[in-house]
Parts: sequence; C-alpha cells; structure tokens
Amino acid sequence: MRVSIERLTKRFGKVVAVQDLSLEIMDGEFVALLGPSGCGKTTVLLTVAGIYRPTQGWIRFDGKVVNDLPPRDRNIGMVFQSYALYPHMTVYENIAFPLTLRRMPRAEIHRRVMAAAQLLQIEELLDRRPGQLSGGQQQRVALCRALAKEPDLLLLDEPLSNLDARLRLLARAEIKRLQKELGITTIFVTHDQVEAMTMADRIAVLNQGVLQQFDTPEALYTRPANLFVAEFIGSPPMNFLEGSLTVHGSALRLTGPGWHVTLPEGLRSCAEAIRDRDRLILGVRPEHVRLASPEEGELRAEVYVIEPLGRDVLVNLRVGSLRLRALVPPSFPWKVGDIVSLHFDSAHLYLFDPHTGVLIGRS
Amino acid sequence: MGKIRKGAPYLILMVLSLPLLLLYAWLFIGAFSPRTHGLIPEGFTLSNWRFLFAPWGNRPSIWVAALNSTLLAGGYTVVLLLVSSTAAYALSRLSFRGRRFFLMLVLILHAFPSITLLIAIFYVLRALRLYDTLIGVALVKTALELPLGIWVMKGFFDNVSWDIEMAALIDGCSRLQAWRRVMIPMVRPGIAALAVFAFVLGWNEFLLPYIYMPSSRNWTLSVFIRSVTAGGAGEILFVNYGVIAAAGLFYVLPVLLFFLFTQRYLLQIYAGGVKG
Repeated sequence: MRVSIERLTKRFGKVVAVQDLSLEIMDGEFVALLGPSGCGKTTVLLTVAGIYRPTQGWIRFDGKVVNDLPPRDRNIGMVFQSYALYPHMTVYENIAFPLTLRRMPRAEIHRRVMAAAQLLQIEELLDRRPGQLSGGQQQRVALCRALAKEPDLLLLDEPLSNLDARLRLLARAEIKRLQKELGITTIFVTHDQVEAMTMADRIAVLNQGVLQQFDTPEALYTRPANLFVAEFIGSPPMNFLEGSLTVHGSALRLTGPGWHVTLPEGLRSCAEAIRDRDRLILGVRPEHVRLASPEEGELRAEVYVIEPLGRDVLVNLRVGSLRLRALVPPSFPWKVGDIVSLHFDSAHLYLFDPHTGVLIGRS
Repeated sequence: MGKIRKGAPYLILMVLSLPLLLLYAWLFIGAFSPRTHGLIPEGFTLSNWRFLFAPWGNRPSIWVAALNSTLLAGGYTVVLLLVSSTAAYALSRLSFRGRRFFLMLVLILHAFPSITLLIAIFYVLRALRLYDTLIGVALVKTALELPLGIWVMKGFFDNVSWDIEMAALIDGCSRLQAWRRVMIPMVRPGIAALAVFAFVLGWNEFLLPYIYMPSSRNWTLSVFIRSVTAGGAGEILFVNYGVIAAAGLFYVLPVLLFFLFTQRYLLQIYAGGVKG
C-alpha cells in the first residue's frame, strides 16, 4: 500500500509536534523515521495509525484520504516499544485477538496464528503468558501479532530499543528479511541512526517536528542537506570547523583561532560564490581524516584521547579550543600528548552556512 | 544485639495490638459462657446462641437481619464497582472540559463529613419514596463512597500503559471494546480490592440503615446488635452480655473469614499498584 503524508501538522495545545511534513512512501517500501527523542517521529506514526487526528494536512492510503478513518478500519499492524502485549491473555490469544475481533472463523484464526507463529519461530511459546517471556520473545510475539493480521501497513515504534545489544543485531536482520519477504509497506521509528541506516530503504530525518531530509541511507551519508543531518548520520559524527574565509595568493583558506585550512580545488568554486558570507563551517568525517608527523602539514593537533575500537582506533584531537575526531588504522605510532598534523581527504569535504546550517557545497 | 533489634518491631506491634486482641478474646469467651469475670469465663454454655433458632424478644429473626446486611453490602458493592470503574476510566483516559475540576470536586467530596448531610438526605430519600428501603440506603452509601471508589480505580487505570490501549484500538477494538476486553481485565486486581473493601464497609455500616430504615423488617445486623445492647421496645432494660457477645461474633465472623481469603487483594488498595 502506498502511504502519502501531505503537509501534515500536529499540534498539542500550543506545542507543535509535527510541522508541515510531507512524505511519499511507496508500496512495499521500508521507511525509517529518524530523529532525537521529542522530534515528533512517534507522533507521525500514531497519526498514520489513526490514534491522533492531523491538525492540518492529509494522510492518504493508496490515494484515499483516511484522516477520519478510525484505527481499527485501517488494517494496520503495529509493534510498540513496550510491545504492549495483553498480559491477561496467552501468547496464542494475543495473536488471535485482532482476528477474533474481525469475527473470523475459528479454523481460519487457528491457521493464521500457527502460520505467523511458525514464521517467527514462537510455536512453543503459544501457551505462555507475556509475563513469562523474555524481552526478545515478547518482541517476537508483538511482531507476530502485527503480522498475523496480514496488514497493509506495518508500523514499528522503536521495537528494538528494549533488547540487549546482541539480540538487537539479530532482530535487525530478522525484521529486514521479513519485511522484504512479505513486501509489506513499513514505517519504522527509531532514534538510532545505525538501525535506520542498516534497515531502511529510505530515511526521513526529523528534528523538532520538521523534516530535514528524506533520502536513501547512502545519500544521507554522502550528501547531507544540512548540519543536523551531517551530525546525526554517521558514527562517530562528522567534525565541524567554523572559521572565516581568507585569500592567500591564489589559495582560499578557512581560518580560525590558531589554525587554518587551505580549501582544496573542489571546494573553491562554491566557496568563492559565497565569499561575501565570510564565515563558513567546514565538515569532515572522522574516517576521512589522516594523521601524519607534525612537519608534514598545515593543521597541527595534540592527541588527546585514544579509543581503540578493534578494527579502527578513534583518536580525539585538540586544535586550540576545537575538538576533532579521526578514525585511523590501529597501527599508528602516536600516544597521548603527541603533536600530529591532520590531513583531510579532499574528495570528502563539506561546506555549511553557519547561519542556516544548509549545505553550500561539497568536494 | 541483632536478635533484639529484629525482635523489637514485633514486640512493639504486639503491645500495640494487645487491646484489640483482648477485645476479640472477650468476644469469643463471652459468647460461650453464661457470665465472665474479666476474661475468666464462668462455665460453658450454648444458650447465648438461642437467637439463631428463635426470635429474641420481639425482634425479627437474626437471619432476616443477616440477609438484609448481605443485600445492602452486596448491592452497594455492585453499584459502586459499576459506577466507579466507568467514571474512573473516563477521568483517567478521556480529555473533556472540566475534567480537572471534576477530579478536585470528587476529592473534596471525599473529605466532606457525610454526617452533616443526614437531614438533607432524609428529605431526598422521602421525595424519591426510597425512605425505609434497602435500595435507598444502598444508593446513599454508594454515593457517599463513590469519591473513594473513583480515586482508587483511577489510580489503577492510570497505571495501564497507553500503548496497551492504543494496541487494542489498532487491533480492531472500538473504545468500548477496548475498555471491556483489555482495560477491565488489566485492572482486575483493583476491582477485586475495591469489591472486598466496599463489601466490608457495607457490612459494617450502621448509621445509614439505623437512620433511614427504621422498620424492624429492614434491620441489618449492626442495627440488630444495637437493639440487643439497648433493649427492644417493651423490654426491661436488662443487658445480657453473653448474647451481645454471641451476636457480635455472629456479625464479625463472615468479615473475618472474608478477610482471611481476600487480604491479598485488599493490600493492593493500600499499596496502590498493579502488578503485571
């Protein structure tokens, strides 16, 4: 089913939870709503579910406006962060509950419950009550209940955040596989960018109720629309250097207190175009920072903290009052307190407008 | 040292509850002996229990009074549960104009001394032709205890997560179905607790039946016992403590048994929580 959110605004009293949001979700697509807590992503989900009514704007299912359709008539499956299993029913009854409400014949209910239980491998739990299950099992039951309805739309509200790290990794892959296998249009709410990046076809990044960018994970990573997306997507987050633009001969430099960086060719044209703006923010991801001995480069930094991550080492660096991060191979010779020079990969640099946060250009 | 420290709370509790225990002991001993000197009985007799088989003086049979007490406590409990579980759900879950005001009003009503309403209630009951009826008294008792019932039930509804209710709505329930099939089962411990609490309260009620049901055919056990202590109409004022003790024991026994089996529900009212 195709889901269109058109110019959706949702207010609670004077608080604007979602503002003028438009999203077009294709049939069978897996879309993540990503943002920090309180950004309005759960509000969007509950409005699509029909629990909240839009203050303004429209929700369409396959082109039909459903603003006034009660939740029970929307044929939606939903998994809550708390799983929201009915504690007074057994697992079987939980899964069968939505089907019973539709007055489905008992044999058909049984067939569907068993099929869904088999899909999620919870057949041996059917007689238990939710209170007797582990978190991972409860999550499976909740997903099973949502899927047994054979919904047109699956809504997942942070379904992984109550699982421990190992289980989360498993569930992540499992949900992605199921979604592709069943081809159900799915909206997934999360504050974890790794979850969103790994699972979704497209990600809508929200901040304070406003859509920042709606694109594929690769595009969000390589072409972030603004500072917020650039910082939110990618782990560890992008480094930002704010400075003013100065001309040195034929070269353009970004200069800050105690440091300067010569902008590479690729960024010159866009930097020149906005020269009157004077101040700029240069963005570079930690994985695109290389360290060398201090005499080799113009930007020198002090090694501040070293965090081994196994495959890489995350080095925290100090340039005057700036804190930067570099992700480097583990075979690096420096120790805390050493002075090194920083080299930015000239093919992966970003320039942002410090006032609006908008991306001006990238190399 | 450790032993003394552990034992101290028990010792204090025992000393404090001693007067109560002595009262119960007297009740029990007195009910089975012709006379007592303090707690020392003067022989054993069952004659104090005559009232079980024959009317005592010109009073109605104690079984009629027991039936009245049961009807009053039971009826009042049922109505209280129905009204407070619906009202509490609305106050806990729905947003409507005047909700906060209503909640405060309910709280104030709970704090209001109901004895000041006695005369007004008399007029209301008479106007409704419910004076001297069990239904009338049951309704008055319900009205007076509703604030408590609503607040207790609201606490239980508040503890049910919104997620569960939303899940029910998405799973195909109407609001009413969600209330009946999901919310009510989840607050069942609260309903049980309130039911026990209300029944005991209704069983123990004395003032309302005494004032609003003067006819002896409507007497509840509490009124019956009062009549034993005071002497009935036309009787010489001779107080038979043995009979009072026996009638008292008869009165208190169902409550004690009830408590024994339901105390774990009752505790939830005071603990005030739902355990998943």
